[in-house]
Amino acid sequence: MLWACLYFPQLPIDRHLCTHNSDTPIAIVATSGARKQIIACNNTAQQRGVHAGLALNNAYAIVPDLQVNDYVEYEQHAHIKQLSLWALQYSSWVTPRLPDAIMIEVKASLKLYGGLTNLLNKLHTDADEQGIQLQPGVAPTPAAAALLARLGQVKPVQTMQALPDALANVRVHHLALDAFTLRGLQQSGITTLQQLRKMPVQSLARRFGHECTDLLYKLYGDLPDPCPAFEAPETFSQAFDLPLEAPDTQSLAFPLNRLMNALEGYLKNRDLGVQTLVITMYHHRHAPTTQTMQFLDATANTSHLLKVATERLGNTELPEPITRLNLHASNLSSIDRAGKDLFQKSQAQADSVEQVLDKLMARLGKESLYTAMPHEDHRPEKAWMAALLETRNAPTSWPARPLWLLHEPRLATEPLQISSSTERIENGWWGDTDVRRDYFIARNRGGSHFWVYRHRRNNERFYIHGIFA
Amino acid sequence: MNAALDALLKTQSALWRGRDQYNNDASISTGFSALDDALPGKGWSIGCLTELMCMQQGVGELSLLLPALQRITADDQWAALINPPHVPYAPALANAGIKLDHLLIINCKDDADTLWACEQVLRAGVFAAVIGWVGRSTAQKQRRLQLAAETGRAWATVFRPGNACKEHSPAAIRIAIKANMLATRQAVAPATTQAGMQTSPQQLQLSVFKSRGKNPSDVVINPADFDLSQGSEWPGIPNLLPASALTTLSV
Repeated sequence: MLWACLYFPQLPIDRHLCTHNSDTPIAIVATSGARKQIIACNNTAQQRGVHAGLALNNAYAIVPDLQVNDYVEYEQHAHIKQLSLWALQYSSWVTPRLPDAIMIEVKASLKLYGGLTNLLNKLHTDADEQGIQLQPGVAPTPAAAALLARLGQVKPVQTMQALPDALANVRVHHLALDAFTLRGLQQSGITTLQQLRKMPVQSLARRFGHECTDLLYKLYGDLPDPCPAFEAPETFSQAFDLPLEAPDTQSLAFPLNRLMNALEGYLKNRDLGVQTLVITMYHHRHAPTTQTMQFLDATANTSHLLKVATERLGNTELPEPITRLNLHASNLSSIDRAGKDLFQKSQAQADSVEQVLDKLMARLGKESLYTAMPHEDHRPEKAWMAALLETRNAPTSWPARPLWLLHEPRLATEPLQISSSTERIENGWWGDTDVRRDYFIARNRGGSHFWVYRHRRNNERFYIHGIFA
Repeated sequence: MNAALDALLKTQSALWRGRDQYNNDASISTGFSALDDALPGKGWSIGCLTELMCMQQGVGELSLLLPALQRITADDQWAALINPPHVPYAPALANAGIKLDHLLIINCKDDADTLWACEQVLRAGVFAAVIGWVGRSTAQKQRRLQLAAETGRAWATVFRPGNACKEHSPAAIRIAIKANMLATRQAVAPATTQAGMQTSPQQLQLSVFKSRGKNPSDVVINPADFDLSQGSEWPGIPNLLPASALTTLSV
């Protein structure tokens, strides 16, 4: 196993999206008891001397125009969950480590991504696209990976054998231990992990409790450190509370991108495509605005989805600024990925005729589809029959016949001019449809040609039976 | 002026001449040389939507498509007629040499079903020719059909009512069809001499008023050029008829 810990050091501020490079100094503040402390700030604030861990009052003293936002825990958790969905495309084993990291097992993905360096590069690029700072750490044990990630050590540790050396000089105060233990270790003169590891385990446990020794064991892989795999839910529905109200749909590009990234990982992990995508925009007072996008084929191509969504949102009228955005993917189905012919030029994946007929019958009904076959009968209405996927030998050629036959003959109501000789059709005297008619080709004023007949007995009226189209 | 234009065309990749673009498109000959000349690619374009606006029925609008349909079905490729207004009459189709077991006929309840069926059939890529009869439609829906035709590389034709000429449509080729009466006007007038009928009958006038990559043009087709699939009596070759058979009716 090889674990990569994706540590997002600036996640609280990354949530505020494009604010990273804005000129106003922005900081996120967490409240612990009565103390307000900066936990993250953007570049501008950092350049002017603000850093994480600074008390809010001190920060105000340095940068009086500091813009302060409160840390919202559940939003951060939601973000980590979305990032976990996003990370599902790199590995099938993803474990969120709240509040600011995700563990992924990368050994199984190395081949797919062409090595660890390529995978890490891709992670960096994709995180950059989302505007998120990523600090990965790679080690054979989850605890060591998390430690390296927090330390910002870029060099991955790939084998168990290399682990002790890589961790030897790590200062103990970086360990995720409580303040009492850390102070105790410091007072005992233990500063590096190497020193800590040389201590007798029993006395360490007696003095600092199990947490300290457990962590030590987990770091070196001597104690199991289970990482329950994050399982993608059955349906995809993710929301994002906008830190600032969006006055128009243009400013949704960034949040939408973030949700789409989560969708991409989700679809890749479950190997599904989406056919219906619903974007819901919530407002303060108005009912939410909803945009539904239907796709003809299930697709997992999120850049295409994003393009369509942006296009659609561009045309949306908003009654009020948007406070919250929700992306819901329904109608998930597997993508048609039948092997493509290397030399096939056609863009379409040719279905078989039967497949198409099935699809058509499902909606239109079985009797709506047919092929017309000539039938051995002289009566015009009986001279054809409906068949499907059957071959019949056509009789020898016919005399003048129109391309259209009317479902029911209709009485001719306009002046017609007959332009052919008579064709007498007499048949069926033994059955219900006794036909004794004289057929002609006739033409109306406008130049349309009809196939008309009159009954032999009652020969005043003409009926139109067909159209020469 | 021309030199300046050429220089611009060479340097600016975003500029091109419309007629250069579609010259190499696949097409299937219509069987009428005059019409072939008026269409881009010398025939019905494959992978494009063609709209035929028909002012009236019974002037030879379907016969126009028969030579191409005959060739397609003869190659064992499939063709589909979607939502035909009347029963496509098998004897006449058989006369035209169409392989009837390769001609699928689809009846639809309404225009929505028709458009849906057209799109499915076009997109499937197994039908070489798709002919649909669509009443009300919108540019957006026609565009879907155009895209589906591109995807399925099919020859797509849609018959529209005559007044659809005025609507905007993204179809690549749009043709208005009407009968051009030459000598019949005096012939139909009541109680005219029957000699009036002996003159040449009507012509079929096609005005190709939109044609991607070509200039609009008018084409006249003599119904005598039809391959007489509906019988040699149609469209009334007067010389063959005994004078006694000609009457003028008023109902």
